[in-house]
Amino acid sequence: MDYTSLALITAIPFLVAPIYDSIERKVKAAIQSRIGPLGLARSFLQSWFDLIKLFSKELVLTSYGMALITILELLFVSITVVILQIFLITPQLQWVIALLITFLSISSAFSLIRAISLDNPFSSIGAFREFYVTLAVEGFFLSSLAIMLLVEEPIIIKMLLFCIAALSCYVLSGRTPFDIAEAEPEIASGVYIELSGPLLATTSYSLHIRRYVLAEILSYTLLKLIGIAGTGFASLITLLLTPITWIVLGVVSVMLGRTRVDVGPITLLKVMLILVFLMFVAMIFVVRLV
Amino acid sequence: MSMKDVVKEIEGKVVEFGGVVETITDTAVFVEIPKERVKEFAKWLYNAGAFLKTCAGVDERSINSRFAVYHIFGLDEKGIDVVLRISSLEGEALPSIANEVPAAEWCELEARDMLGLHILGHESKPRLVLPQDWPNAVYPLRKDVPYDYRPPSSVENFGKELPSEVGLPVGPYHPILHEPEYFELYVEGERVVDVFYRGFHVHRGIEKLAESPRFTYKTIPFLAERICGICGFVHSSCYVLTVERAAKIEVPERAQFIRSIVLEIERIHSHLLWLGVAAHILGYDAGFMHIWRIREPIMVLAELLTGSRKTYGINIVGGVRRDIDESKKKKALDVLRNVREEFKRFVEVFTSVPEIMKRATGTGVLPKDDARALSVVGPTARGSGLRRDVRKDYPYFAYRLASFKVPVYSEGDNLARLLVRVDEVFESISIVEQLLDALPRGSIAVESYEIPSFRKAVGAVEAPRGEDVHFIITGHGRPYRWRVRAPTYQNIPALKIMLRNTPLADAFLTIASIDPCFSCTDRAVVIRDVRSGFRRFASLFEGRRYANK
Repeated sequence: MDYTSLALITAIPFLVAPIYDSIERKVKAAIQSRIGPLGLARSFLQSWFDLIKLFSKELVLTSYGMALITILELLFVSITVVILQIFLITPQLQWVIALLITFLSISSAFSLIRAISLDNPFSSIGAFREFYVTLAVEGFFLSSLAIMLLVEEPIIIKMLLFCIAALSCYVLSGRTPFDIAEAEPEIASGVYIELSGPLLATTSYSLHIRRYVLAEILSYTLLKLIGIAGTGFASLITLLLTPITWIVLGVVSVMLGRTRVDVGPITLLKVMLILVFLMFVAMIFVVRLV
Repeated sequence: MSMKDVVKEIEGKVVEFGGVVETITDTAVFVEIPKERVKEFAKWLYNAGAFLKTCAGVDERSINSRFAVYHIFGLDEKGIDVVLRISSLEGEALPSIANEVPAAEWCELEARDMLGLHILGHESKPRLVLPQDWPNAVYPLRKDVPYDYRPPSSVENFGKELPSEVGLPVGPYHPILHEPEYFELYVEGERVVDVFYRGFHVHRGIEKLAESPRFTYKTIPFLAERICGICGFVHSSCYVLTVERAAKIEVPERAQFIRSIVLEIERIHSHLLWLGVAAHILGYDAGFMHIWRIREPIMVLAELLTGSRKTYGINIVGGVRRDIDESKKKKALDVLRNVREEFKRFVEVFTSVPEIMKRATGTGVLPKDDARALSVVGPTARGSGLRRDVRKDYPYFAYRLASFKVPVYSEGDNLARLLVRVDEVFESISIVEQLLDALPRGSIAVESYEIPSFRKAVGAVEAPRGEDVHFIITGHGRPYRWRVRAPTYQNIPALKIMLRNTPLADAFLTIASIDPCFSCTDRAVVIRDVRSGFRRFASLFEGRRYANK
């Protein structure tokens, strides 16, 4: 693959993530009996317009540390998406998988650090909520993803791993019912409360990229499940499947209300433990068969 | 027990307590009790099943050189009000009945703030109604204070009464509060352990304004309608009902039907609006959007019948200004049929969303005993097992001719209050259909009337949020005293009980579950200086950093 194609593939997420978000908004609006972003251009580009507008606003810093963490969060999530694109081109390189998982966890950690670094009671509550949700799924997500990408397993185990990955991708994308860290009506946007202008734009852009990463991982694992991953054609399918996965996740969120902080993470943890238990049972069963 | 027997029993008790019966009307008994024995009499009334509707302080110095407090009790089961007057000379103390009847706390504090009455037991309590920068010894509802008096604002007074410990500030501006109000939630982890409340930020001086030369009996209905942007027609209806009772005006039956029809349309739109807000709070925005879509034809229907989507302006003393003809009737029935079907489908989906049911069940519980002690009203009362509905208990307008159920749930939680409102939408649609079908012929307003001075009357109308109470002492050309008690005023004190031990996430649903209308509740006096308001707000938000700048 030449450098131009490589650059194009790695640039795709940075360009299309806000576009996918705009489409999600339009689809959600249709389901909710609203008009949503008006006109053809805005249906695809509204989130870009929003980001540009936010970037043009006055910069109000509550602390310099906060600004640094926000920029670092964007940096690490960007590195993660670049590694993901490289992995898509060269899925056989195992060190790329190791790097991907490492940077996935680092970018997740920066998201948490940003949440707790705000000196505001609403954002403190939001940060704790983000912790609960992340703790409930992050470990299961990364380990199931690593197994799925590195090892060839029987279909039953693959299915269980895919369930864990799919549920984790949904939860970590911060959509309803797991958007408790921001929960606008309850804690006035929680972890976002002190962000405005360019800082809010940077955080929003990070979230778009993060959602892209999760949607693409979910698309890839789906292909892996049905056994067509690892080829150039599969990479192309993954890229085409990503917006569909993104929209499906968005549509699911429309059907649900926000969970409660003392119910949601615990329920998630229980579901994850059940899936892991089933996986162990399946593994024992497979080992005995062999 | 017949009405006559009830009145006789009250008369007997009044004599026993050394008081006198001033007036007896079809709907109320006005009594005066010596202030030394008012606590005992209030306790007897309360134990006899009466709910305290409100109390009203009145500056009667131009009539009899005294200040008076009127405690308005309602014997719901008997359908009669007992208005208990106590009075004193300027500077003399008046007893509080808040220990015997907890619901009296707020209205007594309001009488203290607005009239400077010395009410025993309330001396050291912080201001309830007047803003912190209001000058001392200026009491806006005294007759010698001009209605357009504007005190100079003093920024230094802000912040003195706030607790030194900072909890989680909710308000004065917060996404959940659609009007400015201030709650401070004290939390342990994610559980609320205590609440501090400060309201009355949006006083507009409406009671005082109505007593000014700028208004007359005929123009006050339009002022009353502006008390609230959601249930304004309730206030104008309650005002005209009270004036008509005081002046003994016989309103044509057709006008009474039209008022009831419009009141029910207002209830439908208000409940649908609230359900949307509740869905939004619970993060279920699809529900929020769809219920507002279903509500839209109701707004169009209101416009068809009254000429306006809101603030209808059709109430006048003695009748209404706009008739309903056959074509409107037919269109209205079509709209209601469609709304009922759509709403039925919505409720099926809404109550099947697991997060909605889980978050509403068992949260924000208000036990029946507390609901009784605080005399809460409307869906808040009916969700806690109290069967209180002015339309049934004190039938007015055309409600005695309509057949409808009063939905009551005993759980006292957020879900109970939600289900009360859902059931009431269906009942209201049915009431409008019945009244449209039975709309009698005839005129829609009396041709002339006279309103004698110094007559007293109490009117109550069932608003979407509960009982709205107006008390009037008539004057020359305009009321001598007009007291408005909105339903939210009665329900807010219950939030302290409802919020304790509630998960923080559900605290906001709990606040919303009383369907608070701060615009109705606040009504009176002054708009706070924006800059000083910001300084106080910022100080709560870890504001040392900002303050230093």
